[in-house]
Amino acid sequence: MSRKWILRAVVLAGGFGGSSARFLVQEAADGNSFPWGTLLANVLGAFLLGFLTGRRRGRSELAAAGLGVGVIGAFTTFSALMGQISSMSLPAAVIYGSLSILLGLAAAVSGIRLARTSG
Amino acid sequence: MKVLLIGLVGAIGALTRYEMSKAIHRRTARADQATMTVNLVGATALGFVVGIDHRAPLDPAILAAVTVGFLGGFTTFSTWMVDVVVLAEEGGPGRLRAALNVGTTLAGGIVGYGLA
Repeated sequence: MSRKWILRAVVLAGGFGGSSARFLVQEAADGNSFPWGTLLANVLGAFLLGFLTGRRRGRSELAAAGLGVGVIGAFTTFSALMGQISSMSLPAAVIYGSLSILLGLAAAVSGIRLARTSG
Repeated sequence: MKVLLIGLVGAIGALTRYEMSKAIHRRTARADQATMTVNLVGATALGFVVGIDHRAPLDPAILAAVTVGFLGGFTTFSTWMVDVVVLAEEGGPGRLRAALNVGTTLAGGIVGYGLA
């Protein structure tokens, strides 16, 4: 199998894992009033991707594709976030949206920092 | 099983994002623009599918496969967040680009979703 197709295969495999996991988390924790599951998955994913991206050693295109694009990329979701924000009352939407972005950015920064300090 | 279906379709969503991002990145050399495009397309598509479902209810399994599965796997929050941080760290116009990215992605996503 050529390199290109190996990369596609790991994206597919990772995407399968990430999407399944996201679905399970959403089913378990997305309440009727507040999507805790989606928030958790998104923030955790931001942290993990930050860590993956921040590493200086052990980086590979395979890991970036399989884990970064595949697992973590599919584990988090932007579309669900938009749908959820759009169906909430304005105050709740502002809280949820801000929380998602602020925690998401903080998580990404933390992940990158942790990766850099742990070498 | 529902999780299996969502996983399979989500995998295709992820691959679609991968291919689309690569194509855009080749043209613009801006990874953040690739992510933004994918996310805005995905959010808009979700709005359309949900709109269709409101008017003519789709099979719940198909709806879940398309929305939670494909679009959930196609769009990404994590890549968006890391993109913004990386932009901000660039210095120079990086911070402005980061702020513009957040605003545009958020506003574009909400507007896109609501278009249908």
